[in-house]
Amino acid sequence: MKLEPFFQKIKELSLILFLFTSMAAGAQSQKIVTGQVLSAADNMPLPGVTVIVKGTKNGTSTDFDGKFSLNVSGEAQTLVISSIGFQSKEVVISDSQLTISLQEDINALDEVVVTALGIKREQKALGYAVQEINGEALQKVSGVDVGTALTGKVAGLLVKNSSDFNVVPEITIRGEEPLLVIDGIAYSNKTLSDISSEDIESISVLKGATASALYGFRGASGAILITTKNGSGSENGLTINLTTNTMFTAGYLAIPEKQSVYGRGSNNTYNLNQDQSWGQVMDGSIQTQWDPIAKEFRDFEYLPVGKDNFKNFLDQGYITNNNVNVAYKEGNASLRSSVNWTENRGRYPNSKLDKYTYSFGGDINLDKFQLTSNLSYAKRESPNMGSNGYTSYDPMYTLLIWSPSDYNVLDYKDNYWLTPGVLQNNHYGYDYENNKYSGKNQNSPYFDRYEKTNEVSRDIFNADLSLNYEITDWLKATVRSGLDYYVDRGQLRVSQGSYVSTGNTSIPGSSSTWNGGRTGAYVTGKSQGFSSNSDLLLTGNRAFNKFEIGYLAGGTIFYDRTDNLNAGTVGGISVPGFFSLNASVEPAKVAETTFSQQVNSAFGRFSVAWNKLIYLDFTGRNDWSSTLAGPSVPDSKRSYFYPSASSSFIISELLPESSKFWLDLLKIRNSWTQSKTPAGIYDINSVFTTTTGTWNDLNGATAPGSLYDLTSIRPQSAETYEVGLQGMMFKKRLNVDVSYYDKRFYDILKDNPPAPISAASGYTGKVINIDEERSRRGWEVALTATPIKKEDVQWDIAFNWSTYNEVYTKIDTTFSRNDPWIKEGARTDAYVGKEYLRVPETGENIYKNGRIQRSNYNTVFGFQDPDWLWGVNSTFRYKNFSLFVSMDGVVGGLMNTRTESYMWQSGVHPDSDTEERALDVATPGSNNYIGNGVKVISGAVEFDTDGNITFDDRVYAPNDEATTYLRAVKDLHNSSAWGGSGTTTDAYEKTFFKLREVSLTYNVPSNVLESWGPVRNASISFIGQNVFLWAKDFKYSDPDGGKEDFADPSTRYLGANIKLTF
Amino acid sequence: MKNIKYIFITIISSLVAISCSNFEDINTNPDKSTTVAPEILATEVLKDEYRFWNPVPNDFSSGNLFNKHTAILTGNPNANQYYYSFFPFGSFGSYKNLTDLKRMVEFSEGSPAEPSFKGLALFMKASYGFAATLDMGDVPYSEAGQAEEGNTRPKYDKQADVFAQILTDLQQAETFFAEGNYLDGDIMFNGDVTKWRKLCNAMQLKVIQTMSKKATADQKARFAAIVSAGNLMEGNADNFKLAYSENPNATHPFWNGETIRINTGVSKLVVDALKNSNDRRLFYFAEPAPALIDGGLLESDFDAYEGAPTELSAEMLGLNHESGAYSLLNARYVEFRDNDPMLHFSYSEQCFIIAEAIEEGWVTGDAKEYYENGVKAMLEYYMDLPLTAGHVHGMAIDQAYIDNYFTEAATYATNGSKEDRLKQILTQRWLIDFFQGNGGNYPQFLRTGYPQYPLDPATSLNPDDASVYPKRWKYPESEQTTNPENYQKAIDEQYGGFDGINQVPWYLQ
Repeated sequence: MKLEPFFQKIKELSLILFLFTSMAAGAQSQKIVTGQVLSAADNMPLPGVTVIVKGTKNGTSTDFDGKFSLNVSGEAQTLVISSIGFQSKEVVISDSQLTISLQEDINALDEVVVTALGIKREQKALGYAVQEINGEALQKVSGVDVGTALTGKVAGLLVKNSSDFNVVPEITIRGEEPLLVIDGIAYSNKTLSDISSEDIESISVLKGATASALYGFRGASGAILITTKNGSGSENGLTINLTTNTMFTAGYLAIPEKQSVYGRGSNNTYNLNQDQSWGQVMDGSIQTQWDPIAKEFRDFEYLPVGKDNFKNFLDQGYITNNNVNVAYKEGNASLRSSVNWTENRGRYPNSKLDKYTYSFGGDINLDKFQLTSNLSYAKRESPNMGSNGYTSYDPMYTLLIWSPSDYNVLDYKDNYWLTPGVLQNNHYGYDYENNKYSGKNQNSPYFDRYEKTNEVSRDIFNADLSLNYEITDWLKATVRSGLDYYVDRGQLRVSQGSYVSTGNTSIPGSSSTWNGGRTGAYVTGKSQGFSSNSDLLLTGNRAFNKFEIGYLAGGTIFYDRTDNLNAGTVGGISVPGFFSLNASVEPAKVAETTFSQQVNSAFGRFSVAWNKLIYLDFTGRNDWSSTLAGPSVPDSKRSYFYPSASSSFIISELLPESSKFWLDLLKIRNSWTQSKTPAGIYDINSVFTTTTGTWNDLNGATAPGSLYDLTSIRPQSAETYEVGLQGMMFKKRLNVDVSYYDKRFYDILKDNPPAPISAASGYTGKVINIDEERSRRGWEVALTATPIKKEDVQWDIAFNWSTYNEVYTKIDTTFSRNDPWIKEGARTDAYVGKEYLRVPETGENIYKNGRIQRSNYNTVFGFQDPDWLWGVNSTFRYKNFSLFVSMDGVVGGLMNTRTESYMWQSGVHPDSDTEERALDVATPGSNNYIGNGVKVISGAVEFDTDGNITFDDRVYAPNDEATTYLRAVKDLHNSSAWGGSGTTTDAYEKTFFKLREVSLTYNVPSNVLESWGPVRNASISFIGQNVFLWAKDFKYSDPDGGKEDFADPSTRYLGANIKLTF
Repeated sequence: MKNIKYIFITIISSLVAISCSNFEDINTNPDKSTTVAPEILATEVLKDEYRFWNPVPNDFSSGNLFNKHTAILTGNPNANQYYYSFFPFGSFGSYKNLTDLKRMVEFSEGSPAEPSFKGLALFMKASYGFAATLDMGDVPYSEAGQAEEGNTRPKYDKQADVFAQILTDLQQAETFFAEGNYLDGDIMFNGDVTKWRKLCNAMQLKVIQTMSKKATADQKARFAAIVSAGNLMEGNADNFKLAYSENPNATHPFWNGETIRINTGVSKLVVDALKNSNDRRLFYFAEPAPALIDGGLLESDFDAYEGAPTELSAEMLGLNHESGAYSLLNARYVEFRDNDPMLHFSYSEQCFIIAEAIEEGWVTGDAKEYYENGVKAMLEYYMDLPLTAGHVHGMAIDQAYIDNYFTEAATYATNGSKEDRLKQILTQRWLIDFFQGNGGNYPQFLRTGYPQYPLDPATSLNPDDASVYPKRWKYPESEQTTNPENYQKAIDEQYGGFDGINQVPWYLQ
């Protein structure tokens, strides 16, 4: 066969696509065929069945009553009726109403899932856990990122959804970050947030290392395989889908509040120049204050005019997510093109995010030859995403924490300059006389949003091409190659007059910037990266009597390179409002980093099945990694091999025939695998670090801080053992899947950071494989059920639950940390802190000079990992209405609350308005808080290095010494964002429950659609995202992000979704 | 189907071609070097040691509290002011630079500057050891920096041995500098090895005097020999200092620290000491107390200045501050990037060290002359600062003032008791460090008791015993993992197994 005709065809197809509108409008109508499709087993109507005129692209699908109606031309003879799980049927068109009954396809029980390398295999043959999600489940409610829609839908998969603006959800499987594979390509740079949910056909989650063993070190933590939609799944002819999804902010799930009784001051008195809210009562007395309108200091009434500052500052936000896609299929070829636009306006002023994705895919399916190719481009940009977290001077830093409620933030709206471009109008005022600002390190909030901006953009392009050729009936060759290329750009602009610098705000290629306090700054960063993956696979299978064997041999070349370039002004900007490196007062500072690696691999799989009863799988893979290559490393070190074995045993095959009535499948599975991870890029290189201009014009250099044990260096290894049980009952209306796994990490490679050694030796670390071992053990349960399935009513529910924890199974006597809580059998996620000093016998708190005392030694206060995770998804359908609800939650695990800790410390916490405080303020300098406990009146105590008491002759008396309420609060909550472990008082349990998604959908029935012309399917939904939150400890912020550092207010989104198919 | 075969072959052969690229090239970081020039290692090492650890106003302010020069007036007790620390541990972090110094010497091999680099390497090692032993007690020294030779767990030397070896190393360093010509990359002396030689000699005096309670007769004799040999600092030009500039990477740490300055008072100990001897440094250090100015006093009047008692509770300091009771730090400290050079070891200090030694009978000479030279040099330091005009409340120090300084209480107490004279010497020595951020004087206070730092058990934050001054910091926690046997041995032998901050190291016993 020649390719010429192919190109000809493609040209034709393009032309047809181009003319689709006229096609859609110009359909001939000669007669109408109507009918109903029923299930042969129980005569129940079958909705969603495809009905197509044979040999054409003309078709429809049945409504919930199983009914259809179709315009056909005079020549049409036969209809093809098909539905997943049923055998297709052809019927001759007659004038009368057709009644068609479909036979269930027995083989349909053999569910096929996508496994590693994109190979489709029967679920029952697998010896490891794979959970599949249909794309539709992610398209019910479309937010900014698909990750959010994945939350709670897969057992063992945790998605952390930060409430901060433009922060991408963080996904882990069994506590580790999985590999993302799209259409068979394990891209290095493309992420889930670069994909539109409308383009996802299905997602297959390979949970353990065995499932993803063929992906090598990149799949050592499981993999998420995404199959994107292509035209080949659709009917012959043209299909156009339009989806629009728009939601508006509607209230808050969690938002900080503050007391508005006490004003500025740090010592129970009014202090014009002091931040915090530990001042006097805002009682209307006359005080010298800054007047933002007159722009001068003036005496006027001191009142809580800003008690609603935070809410007043926030804007109405929205998310709109819109998609148009067109698919065309004719015979053996199909095309699909999709474009998606998402816009998110945040709640802080001047925050906006736009996302665009374009994708184009084509398929050619011939007898022995298949070709698939996809191209896609995504862009994500925000002119100002602001900054998140305390040390990055998040807007809450000023607005919520450090400033009191004694000024009205709205007075500063469009009024934040004293001298435009140079000096801000700030509620701390400006001392013109001495040409000095007297304020603390706080910007005026509007200044902060408009004059301290963080512009980001990301462009990513990817393409893949996959060829399959069936050489013989027992051997198929696949060549697949894909690449991605991205550019991330970030620009920070700080105007002169900013009281704070860019702080800990990152730009691409640099994690913190710290530039521009008072002087202004422009900081820019660019990361660009390229990765490519090329696979050659030979696969096949053969059957001999009761044996079936499958085999695979292949190779992969993976290459990845990232280049970062970043620069910033030094000493400020020379011209107000001029943001460029050319504005730098001193020569601008520039830095460059480059990372590259290549891994070549050869791998194979051999599987054998006997009598559809026992399935065995063996894989092996050998990698050659560049990250283990160096001048002083033997070549043999860069090569390493790792095998896996798995089995599946179908118990139900052995059960008596009578059990088939209720039991469809009962399977037990078992697997073992080894996975190996090489050193990180450049981690084994001993190099000097040079600094240009380290002191004045002199350059600096530092010697390597690590020693290297390169002759014995090995990749880090893990061994995973997994067992599972899967059952399908009542014609698949109840599915249960339970897994248990044990992953042992050994040969742990301490490369970044290295294993610490005493700095007194001249080095701080050693790059070495240590003897410490850890094991992570967990359970996962996934359950899906259809409790009700009737003609008008159907209820589907899916439940999943998982738990794990990690313990030390071996201690390295040299390199493991020498702490009492680090020992064999102890959990590795201890939440360690310095507890309050207590009387050993009674547990009473010990006070000194009226102040509570903290121990000088750390102890285990709790654990960080959640006890368990859960999620429930339910769809209830009544006639044409369906209600979808998705909820999930986390139970247990400790994390620090930065927001509330600082609300306490700065005196704004609503609960800090107490009697003791009132007394302190009534008489500044008086002490009115007496802590409940004892004080030491004589004696002393000594400790060993673990904090155990070795000598103690302390004598106690009840604590009768008072301190101020302020001091007591600060002693309890003195966690710092700048380092150190937080106080135990600020350690909160993560436990929460969230109503993640709700959608109430009306599917327009086919008889209505008939009058709508070309519309084939239509639905409208009322939707909500982030609808309801209950949290055990977190009251003023949302623990969903997995860490809590000035989490933005958590917002409820409500809106509508319209889907149309032509 | 022939064409398809070609496609396969093309793709496969291009894959094979890619896979043949050189792994070592891929894993070579193009942005890092495996060899460098020795002087840039020297620059970084010197910067690491002598630049303030985190050059931002808040930390700089906090770092000046321990020696009771200033007081924080926010109402919030700062641990450093009340005899504790937010991080009550010493560190061996600077010892990591022993490797940098080793490389520096290796890369300089054969060059005329090699001896100078060797001298610098030994001087720095001595400096690290001296700081570490004063902070903690016994520390690794003889086995320090030997990881490459296989010793990653150096033993802790007895403090007496550490002092002794430091002295040997300083002497050896002096010999090296004598052989070298010029030191490249030198941010302290701009490469002048004659100054380094003087410093090495003067440092030995400081080390011996710091262990005055334990110094052997030999060591005292060595002190005298160094003094009589005379290759010592001769004036402010020889000061071991770090000069700041307009360059943001070399800016004074308190520049732009107005929000901190407005809550930083000058201590009562400083203000009273300066008032007592009509010392005009007061006008360089402080602003007048607002309440006293409001009361009609002139800014040029000594009486318009009131220091903040560092031992008073933070709340009371805060309240008094709000009523304008205290003198704040002079506003000039936040104005200029190239402000007062940071003095690490000055000619003045050398004078006071010798004056004390004369008083103690270690060496013969005129203590009064050394005392007066020391004070004069400090007054000259301030007189010569270029950025003080308009900031010193009309009380600039000039030569005439310096010439007439030694009157009344400032007169050396030749006729008073030895204790009176020691008190004068040590008080002046302590004033050198005012707002310098060099961390210096505390061991001298512990050793001599002068000037007497105020302590109130009701406000002291010393967690183990609020009635005493802490004598040391704890060993780095990491040593319990990285060097556990030697660590345990050190605390057992010195402190009965309790690594506490009130335990008394050998040199103070």
